[in-house]
Amino acid sequence: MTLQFAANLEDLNVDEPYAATIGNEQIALYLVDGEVYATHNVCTHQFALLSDGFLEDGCIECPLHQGKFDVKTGAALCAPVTAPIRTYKVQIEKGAVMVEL
Amino acid sequence: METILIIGAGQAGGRAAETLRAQGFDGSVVLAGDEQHRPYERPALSKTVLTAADDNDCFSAWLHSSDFYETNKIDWIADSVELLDVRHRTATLQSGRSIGFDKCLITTGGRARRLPGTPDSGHVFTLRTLQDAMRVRTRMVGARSVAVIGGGFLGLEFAASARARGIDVTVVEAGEQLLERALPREFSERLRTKHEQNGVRFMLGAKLISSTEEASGVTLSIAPNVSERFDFVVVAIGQEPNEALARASGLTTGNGIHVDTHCRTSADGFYAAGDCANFPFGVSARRLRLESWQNAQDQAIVAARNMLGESVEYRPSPWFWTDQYDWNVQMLGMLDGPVDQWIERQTSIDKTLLMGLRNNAITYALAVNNGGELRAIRRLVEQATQVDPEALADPGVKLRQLERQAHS
Repeated sequence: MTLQFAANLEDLNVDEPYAATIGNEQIALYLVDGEVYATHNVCTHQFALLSDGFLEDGCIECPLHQGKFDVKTGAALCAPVTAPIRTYKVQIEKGAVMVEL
Repeated sequence: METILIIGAGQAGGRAAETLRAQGFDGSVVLAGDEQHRPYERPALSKTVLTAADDNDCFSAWLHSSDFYETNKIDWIADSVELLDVRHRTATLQSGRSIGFDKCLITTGGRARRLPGTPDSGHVFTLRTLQDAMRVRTRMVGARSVAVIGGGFLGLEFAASARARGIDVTVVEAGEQLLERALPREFSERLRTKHEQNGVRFMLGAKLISSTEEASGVTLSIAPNVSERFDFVVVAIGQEPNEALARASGLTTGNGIHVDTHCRTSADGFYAAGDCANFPFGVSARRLRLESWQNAQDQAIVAARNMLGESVEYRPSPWFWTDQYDWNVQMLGMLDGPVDQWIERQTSIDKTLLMGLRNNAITYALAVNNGGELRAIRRLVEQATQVDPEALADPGVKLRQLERQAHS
């Protein structure tokens, strides 16, 4: 487990999920109530990037089938998703969003 | 112990069974369907099932893992219900087994409509079940040409899949434009161009007169004056609801099984949901069926909850999607009334959002590779919110902001 650079904090906007690639790992970052959260970026139902989805009330909704995940816990919240999405620990260091991989 | 019988083990039946357990129902759940497979989602049948390289790895769209039914004590039976006795609440399976129940949900879905005089054969196919798709997949091997009868969503998805495999595709469509009732004309033309750029040939305003099966293919006679041979033919001219069982048992039917907004049929304790259910839609409560992935899932969930004593109304915002080539096209609302203004927020030909307004409210929207933005305006559509067309057309204005303002 190491902390790796994912994005500059200033590039994240409220309501707008952010796609980051670290090595081969696709990550989505979310700014919710001043905190940054990170999940895997690929939906657990079918291939779609959550960073293209709709973020509201701390939940990310997949752009393909509107399955929903809690970005804080990764919990699958409604059909068609049943499997949770992987979450990552996030630290902010000097304006940089660092993700634990 | 209370028993709930679900007739039809497709997406709707599977979601209903799952919901009964998720809501804490601890009685017996019997899920009977006439396919040999556990519940699955059908969208992949016209796409990855046909294009995947490996036979053993071409399908993965199961609704649940294989151990789900056992783990959740759902008695999934691969058998069809032949008789339904409404008064005594018993069902008889083809195997002869009889099942007594307390409540029943009918999710029998639909079947592919066929051309009169053109039955499925070695070279003529319809596409509805996983078995159908596997037969088509097998026939595609080594085939050089295919005719698709019907330029609807299924026919066009199949056309894109066949092109991906290098097969010459001719789409024969009776209408003068593709998807006349489902798409705005402007986008219908863009979609046709997309297909033409990918090598699909269209015969519009064309009517199939006859088909003659030969050893190695089919010769189609098409009005006004075409006679042409194809290696095989896919008939995609819509579906018909499976309502015969419900009708024979005395439930009210007519273009599907009639239900109210709570998914209740005309008989107490009997419910219906999904492709086979005809329900009152919108403020006008006009009756319709929705043949969509969303409807199969969401109506079944509402039905299951109501069967457990809740009182939930099913009031959907119709939402459809189709995947063709590198386009994911999503549609929100129905194109069933006049539109007095179209506004497009286009990033590129491959990424756009097209909105139809009536009296300054968005009544219909279509997105290409832009599902997130479509989602951002969903509440505006659902609540017929008044919007400022200028702001909507301004790419500098974020849709989320607009939505927030409208609801603050």
